Amino acid sequence: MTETLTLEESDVQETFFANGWTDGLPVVPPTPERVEAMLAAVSAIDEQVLIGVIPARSKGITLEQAAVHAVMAGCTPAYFPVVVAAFEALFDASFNAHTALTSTGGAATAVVVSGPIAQEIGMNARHNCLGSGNRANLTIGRAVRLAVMNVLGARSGELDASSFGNQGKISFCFAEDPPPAPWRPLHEELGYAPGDTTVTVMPVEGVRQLAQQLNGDAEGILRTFAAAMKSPSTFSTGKGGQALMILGPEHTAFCVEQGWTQAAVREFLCRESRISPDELRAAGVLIEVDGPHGMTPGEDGKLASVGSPDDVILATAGGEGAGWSAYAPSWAPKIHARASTRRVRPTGEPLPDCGPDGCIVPWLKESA
Amino acid sequence: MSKITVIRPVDTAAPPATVELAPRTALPEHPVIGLVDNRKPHARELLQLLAEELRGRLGGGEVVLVRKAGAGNPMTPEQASDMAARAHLVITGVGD
Repeated sequence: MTETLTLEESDVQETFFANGWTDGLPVVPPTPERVEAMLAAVSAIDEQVLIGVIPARSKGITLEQAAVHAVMAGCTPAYFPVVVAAFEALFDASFNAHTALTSTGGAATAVVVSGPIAQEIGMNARHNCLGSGNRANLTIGRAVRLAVMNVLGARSGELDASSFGNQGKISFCFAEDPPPAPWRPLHEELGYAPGDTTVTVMPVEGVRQLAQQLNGDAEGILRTFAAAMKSPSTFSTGKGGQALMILGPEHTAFCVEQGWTQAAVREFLCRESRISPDELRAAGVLIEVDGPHGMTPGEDGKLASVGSPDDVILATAGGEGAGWSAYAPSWAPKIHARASTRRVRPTGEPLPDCGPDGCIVPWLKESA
Repeated sequence: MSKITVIRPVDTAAPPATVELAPRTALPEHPVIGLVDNRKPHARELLQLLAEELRGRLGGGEVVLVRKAGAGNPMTPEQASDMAARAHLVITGVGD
């Protein structure tokens, strides 16, 4: 049930800081009127309906709670359908929010928006898309983190055991810049219709910027990326994780012009990021014996850094420059958590009635 | 000074029903000791050392080991039911 608090307007920020309700930055006060305006952007049957739950914790987030945190983060109502889709994806069992939000590894929740709504609400897919300066990018990602902190208890001292965390835990959200044909945007690669907009969420370590400015050969560029993907200091290297690979415009153009398909890029990165046990040992990494991550070399004598080609989440974004891309490894091997995608329901399209337990997806037992 | 009303950004749901601790009953002469390996590094080795120590103190007994799929995965309902049916004493809770 909704609980309200009446206080002097000048005391709002300090009250929210004192109660630990912010991420360390000021927030927009979530007045009932602002929350109502946010909720009006989705066609909800009931504002108290749970968007999803974490069964192991008996905790979930209601539509109203999502709206409260979208207001606090600074979202406009036009962003709210994207925020809701992000929560729907986050509560998919494959994302494993139970662990991904609380591990010592300190994962950020990357939020990738692909499709026309990203452009309609003014998201940034170009220069500085992973940095500052765009309200939609920053506040959508921030809304997700604020809500899991306040409602699910994912904060230091409670359930978030991050040893360091990373700056993406404040907000890590960007829009995909549709790639040149014949490449297709991420949502179409995932099987959605061209007119759809999707939100993909993925628990990730901090983002790495990838420089490749002199080599115009696509294979050479991709080899540079694969080298980053098998860095021994990344937890999932050799253990079968996932990779969020964000190709900048120059690198995308070289690949497209030289006839690389997206499937071929994913397959190449998966294969070339495999690493031998000796390479890991040389970097001081011990090989798990009888551990949960299957660190038994394949026929090529190597271990997988990403589980399969489909575990390379390939998006295109960024602005023209000298030749930059970006990469974020999954925070853990895919037996622990995987990227998850949901379609954004535009304003006016009814949200599903998932019943009192929310839209629970049965726990996925397969670990491949 | 003007007043403002805001919605408290907290979890207002009723807390989940608490789970009662199992009754502390006397152990049989040769108890079955259950171990839940949470797959954290060296968890199994540490639990087995603990089980052997307990077996020595309790005068024997069987040790049953269950391994979770990974540290980030809960026990499956089948694993939990099986352990509950077989073991008189279950040890878990190993972290990093």
